[in-house]
Amino acid sequence: MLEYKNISYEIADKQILDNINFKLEAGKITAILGSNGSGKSSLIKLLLKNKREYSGEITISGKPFIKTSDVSILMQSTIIPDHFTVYDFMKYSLIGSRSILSKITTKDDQQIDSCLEKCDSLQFKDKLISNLSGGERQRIIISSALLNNPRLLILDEPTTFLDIKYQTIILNLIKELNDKEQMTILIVIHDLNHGLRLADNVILLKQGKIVEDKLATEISEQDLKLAFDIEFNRHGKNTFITNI
Amino acid sequence: MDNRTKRIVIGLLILLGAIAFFSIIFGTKLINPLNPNNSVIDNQIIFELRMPRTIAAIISGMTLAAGGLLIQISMNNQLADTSILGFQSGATLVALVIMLAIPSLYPFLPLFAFIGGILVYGLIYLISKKNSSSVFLIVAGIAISSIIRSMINLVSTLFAENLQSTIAWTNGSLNTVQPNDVKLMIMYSIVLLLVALIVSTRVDILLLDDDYLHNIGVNSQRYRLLIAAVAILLSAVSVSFVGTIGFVGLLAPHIARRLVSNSGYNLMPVTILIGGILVAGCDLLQRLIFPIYEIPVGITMSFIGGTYLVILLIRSNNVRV
Amino acid sequence: MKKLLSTVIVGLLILSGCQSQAVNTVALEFTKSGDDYSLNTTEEMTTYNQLITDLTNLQVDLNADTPVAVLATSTANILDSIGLNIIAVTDSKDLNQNLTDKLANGEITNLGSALEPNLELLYQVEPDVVFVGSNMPHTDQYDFLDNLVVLPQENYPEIFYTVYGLMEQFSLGDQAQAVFNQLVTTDQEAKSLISDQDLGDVAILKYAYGNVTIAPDNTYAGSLLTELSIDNMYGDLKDVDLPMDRERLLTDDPDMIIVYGKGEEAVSEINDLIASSKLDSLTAAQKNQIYVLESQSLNVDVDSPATLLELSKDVYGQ
Repeated sequence: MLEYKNISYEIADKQILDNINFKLEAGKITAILGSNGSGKSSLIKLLLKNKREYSGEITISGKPFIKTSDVSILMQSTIIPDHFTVYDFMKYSLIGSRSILSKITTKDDQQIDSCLEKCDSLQFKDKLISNLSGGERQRIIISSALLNNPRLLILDEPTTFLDIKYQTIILNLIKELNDKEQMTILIVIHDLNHGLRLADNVILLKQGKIVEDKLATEISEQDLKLAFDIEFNRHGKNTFITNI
Repeated sequence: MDNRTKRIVIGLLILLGAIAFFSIIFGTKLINPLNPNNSVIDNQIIFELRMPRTIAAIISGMTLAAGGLLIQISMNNQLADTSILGFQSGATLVALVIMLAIPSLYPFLPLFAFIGGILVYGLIYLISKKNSSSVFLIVAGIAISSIIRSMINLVSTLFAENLQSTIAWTNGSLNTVQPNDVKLMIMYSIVLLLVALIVSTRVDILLLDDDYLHNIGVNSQRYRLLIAAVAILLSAVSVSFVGTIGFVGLLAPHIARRLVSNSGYNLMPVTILIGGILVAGCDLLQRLIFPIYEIPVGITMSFIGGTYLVILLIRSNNVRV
Repeated sequence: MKKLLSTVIVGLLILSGCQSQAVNTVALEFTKSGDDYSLNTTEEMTTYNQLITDLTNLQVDLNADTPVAVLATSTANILDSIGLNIIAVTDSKDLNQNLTDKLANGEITNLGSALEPNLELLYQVEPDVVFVGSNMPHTDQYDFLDNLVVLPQENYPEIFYTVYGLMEQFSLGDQAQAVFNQLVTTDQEAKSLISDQDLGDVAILKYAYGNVTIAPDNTYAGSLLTELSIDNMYGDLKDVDLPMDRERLLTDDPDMIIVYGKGEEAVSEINDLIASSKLDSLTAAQKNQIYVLESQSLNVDVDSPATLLELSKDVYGQ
């Protein structure tokens, strides 16, 4: 699976990532946690960047990483034009990389329906994206990420800007995809509660460095103190404050 | 095309036909083209002057409008236009130099003009790497545009004797468009407008952000360049045979967006027709207001277009830049 | 001193054709019989003989009644003075009084601006011949008009070719002959003043719309100097519109400076310019040899010989 080896990355002499090493476990959910500016989004964004822009090596199944349809990466804010219907968006996402003269096939339509179905969004198919709520929109974006049956799904803050109800729905959806489709998932998230509850493995990031990489169940209060520079109320792990 | 678009396209076709018809019967005198007893002179006026200029007006309007829409989508910026960003100036400069150096290449002028336009695009692209904000790009375009304008003025001053008709040409003049120019324009524009209509079915994808496009396997840089190239080639047709006409590429898509949904495949046919209507209409209007003095259509168009843009900027708060 | 007989050779003239063509050397000779002058056409003047053909190289048919349209102001003035029947002309404040009046009365058709003539109106008035001067911009735009005649109008001698050629080829009658006689008389009066005194370095400058440019031999103003056998210190310049500035003037320090402009207004502007330019240190200023020449046109016109005479008087004294 995806592996980062000695990755360092700087923008204008500012060290964003410093010697990052980790390996994803296939079929598991790995969460990257860290405070704002810890470099967690950059870590993902490197996958969309040219190799020359960072040092170190990213590999997938032992080979140098190349973005293929096997890997789906959703960055935090995907801009979708107001006049797109859900179907337009799904259609463009599926056939965008094909020849401009190609037509959409019945099989394509079935694939779109099944991906929407997986995210419980088939009922929105003919609606305008602009008429959907934030949570519905996020589900559509996740369905679009499933179109090419990726083995690895990478999500950057999929629950930001959503209210609590939708956050839960999205996280359950991610869990479900992992369970039912055996999809490997890497998720960047700033909500500790959600991250720890959802993930099998957790990577704690602080100022561009990995401070901890272990099973979610093994993460201690001490680890979090170190990563986030904060004090906790003594109510146990599951009442960590949300939204740092 | 949805049903609403179809109805609007039919309406616009009728309007364009009407303008073309009036453009042929009106002028310094009223001539009925269908009258079999027309004098030789009347027929000459119709077939050698009014028809070529009407067709040239419609084609340059259509190609500029289509080019404008494509460049707006390619750059995801509704204030972009091949004239505002300096592509037309670049095209004009190279066309001017070619006319000066190798006049025999005249039929291929659009291809050379295209090279000029694409060079300016390259320059804008390099600048956009520094700062990709749309407003910044527009300002960069205006700056580059004025640099090239000064070079055009330099060339036409130095070689004034050899480039006698450039004054009219750089202003976009329909007065002396020749039937031969019109033939070339028709050839180029049919191919290019067809390409524009075909790509419009898919081009909306560029309205998504580059990270997302990368994720779904679209090489967005190459795609955007390709669409921009089609846009610049479209505007090069008009630049080569009629001259620079500003604002059509900005105005036509704007009006189209008010009429139909924002999908590329609805916008494109409507935009193309509005472009033809705008330029042919401006030319007709100009001839009715100033029956003796020929005003280059580029001047009329800039006046109307500039006014519209000012109104747009004052009234609108949802222009995406 | 060169003594010139009024009936024989006037001089060797340099005639340069259109900008791109090679320079032809042509002897211009006038013969006088009674009160009338004629132009002795020599073998080299084949360029001239092709003059009155249209763009398809067909000889046009023309007489004093033939309806003609003119797309250039100075050309219109020339043609009007020799009595051609002008029925339509492009509008300009520099048209002569006769044409201005006729335009105002609606006797002839206004074709709009010379830069963008109204072609529909041109078609409608049905002229047999359309004239335009070679000094006009974009004569190349009218190549679809098969009855278009482009009159050479770039160098001084061409006024004679034009007037005489039209007169001879088309039997235009007394008015044209009288105009031609007047042109020749004035020309010869100007040239009779020529003396062999050493004039030193002479510069002729053109003033137009606030700009002062150097006029080499291949320009209209340059050809005036050639006519009067004056050596133009900038004669060989290839660059036609090179601006003259104070620095160049001080460096080159000519012995005589001639600045010509169109009309009284230009003359007073030139005088102001000279007064404000602090040229006192120049040799030409100390010798009192800075002349302002008022011309009726910036190009070849029926007034060209008169302009030549004025120049000759300035340079050689009266």
